[in-house]
Amino acid sequence: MTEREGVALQAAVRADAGGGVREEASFFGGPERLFGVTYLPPDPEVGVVICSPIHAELLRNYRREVLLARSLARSGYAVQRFQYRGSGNSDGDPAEETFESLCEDARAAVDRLVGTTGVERLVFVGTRLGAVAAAVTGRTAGAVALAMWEPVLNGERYFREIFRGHLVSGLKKAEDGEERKPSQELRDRGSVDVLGYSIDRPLFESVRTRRLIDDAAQGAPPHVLLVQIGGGRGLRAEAGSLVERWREAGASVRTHQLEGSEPWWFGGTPQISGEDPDRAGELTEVTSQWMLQSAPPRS
Amino acid sequence: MDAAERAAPELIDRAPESTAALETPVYFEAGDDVLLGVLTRPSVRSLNVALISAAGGLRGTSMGRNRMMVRLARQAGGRGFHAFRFDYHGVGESTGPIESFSLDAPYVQDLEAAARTVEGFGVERHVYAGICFGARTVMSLVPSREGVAGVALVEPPIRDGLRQGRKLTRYGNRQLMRVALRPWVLAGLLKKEQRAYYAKFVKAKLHAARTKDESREETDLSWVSEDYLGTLQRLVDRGVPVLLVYGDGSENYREFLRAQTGRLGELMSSAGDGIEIVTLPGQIHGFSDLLSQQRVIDTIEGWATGLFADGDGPPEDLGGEDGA
Repeated sequence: MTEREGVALQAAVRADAGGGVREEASFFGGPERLFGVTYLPPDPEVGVVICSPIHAELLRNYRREVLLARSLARSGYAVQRFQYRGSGNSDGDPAEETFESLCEDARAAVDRLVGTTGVERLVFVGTRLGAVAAAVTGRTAGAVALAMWEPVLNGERYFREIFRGHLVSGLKKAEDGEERKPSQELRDRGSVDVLGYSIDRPLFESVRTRRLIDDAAQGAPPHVLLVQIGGGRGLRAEAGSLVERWREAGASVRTHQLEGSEPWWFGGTPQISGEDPDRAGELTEVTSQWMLQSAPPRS
Repeated sequence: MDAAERAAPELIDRAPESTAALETPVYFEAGDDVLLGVLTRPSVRSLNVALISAAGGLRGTSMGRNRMMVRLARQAGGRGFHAFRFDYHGVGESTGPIESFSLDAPYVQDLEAAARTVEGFGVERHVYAGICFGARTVMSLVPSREGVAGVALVEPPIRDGLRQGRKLTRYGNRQLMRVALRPWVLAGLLKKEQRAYYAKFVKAKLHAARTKDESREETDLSWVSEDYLGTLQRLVDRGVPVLLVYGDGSENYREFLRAQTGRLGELMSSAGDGIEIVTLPGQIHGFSDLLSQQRVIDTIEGWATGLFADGDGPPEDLGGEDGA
């Protein structure tokens, strides 16, 4: 356990072989503590905050984010990964999670990274709903660059996709004669069980009523990367519109499309179950190369 | 089956749980890799016993689906246990290449290193809790370990290489229907290549039915894992309490029942109270609903707590921030 700035931290530290990078896993913040890992190369000048997706998507993307963080740290970036309150190893009640609380936790991660390293230039990377939380938090933190992996730009559609998982699960359970209408269940009970994850009304309402595409578009940093997975030829309509708005605002925008589809709510850890084992590599490569050009680790 | 068998417990009252304030991340070495674990200290008077969990393979990380293993650790902390969860090599925060999870090659080295790490915190009596692949990993380790106070096995597959080696054509028709209705199988219908695989499988199944390939398995129990049987026998011989948890709708449980006609049945008869079997409603493998998650957590925690209900463990106040 280490002591820093008068706050007791529960931390474990390891040195990455050969790279001179230290990884520090810790619980930080409070009173409800967040779990996170800070990647510390020698004398970093640029910090990267990685905002995860939530629910099943968190596990799906977990290892990719670890591999990205290690790769960036080897290139000289300080990196902060973290888990939102109510998820992963962090404290908190998932029923109290809202879009605003995701952004608050991202802000706590910024404080942790800046407090640990003193970096002044920040880059944000986010996936799915975490991509929009990254955009919003990055705006207030003065981010110099933003990378979004498969961002959620429409709250209604996001929950429709999630509830599709619920319906598929319901098919299996229909053997028991149970009726399953997720939106009704959410209204009546305040939560709905989707494949072993509780979707609660506070999150539902906070996301559904937001114009996520506006959240993502407003005050874009000078450099933006948008990664879309699947979707056929070209960007999807909303992603295309977002890119246009960024460009109109003067941002330098790069887009990248990965082939195939991403079953965010189904299957296991993709690298283990053999689904697209190279996707993590491609995401890491594309994002690292873009970042090296957009926000080099050394001035 | 003479081994103690009972139905699912009612959901039990919650004790004050441990929180992240009582948790410490720990890096530890396992072979060439560095794994990340989290030690949870008890929020009440300590039993000085650690609940070490070994996650299932498919979800990968030590958190499990919907952070089920985190919840188990903190709930156990509320009952006086230390708890330890960790990421296997190549998974989550740990180093190393990602590998497939094969039942006949469990990650014993990782679990053993985790157990040694917990000992390093001064907690030398351990209850192991493993899920599916993790259960088989626990079974591979515990016969060689000292200080094993109990073993909880959730959905331990009874055959080696179920995921890898078993011919799908050996599934019975009812089993097949259940497998076919799993969410990820249904989701596979959206993919062209997956549909082609299903079609190929159905053809093979029809062929197998014509050649009456299935009936042999009812009498030939050679598919029952020797490791599974041997480990259970050694634990019974050593007087280590064992908890087996199955969902009554799971394929693992059906195979467990079928195997009762052979050596497993004899073992269960001789085990008496040494092996407790809990069947929970439905399909718990994969934990794809909240109720089954909580039932499994409560079952493990309640059973482990019961092992020390008579003051069997050496009470020693290590709770709170000053604990190990």
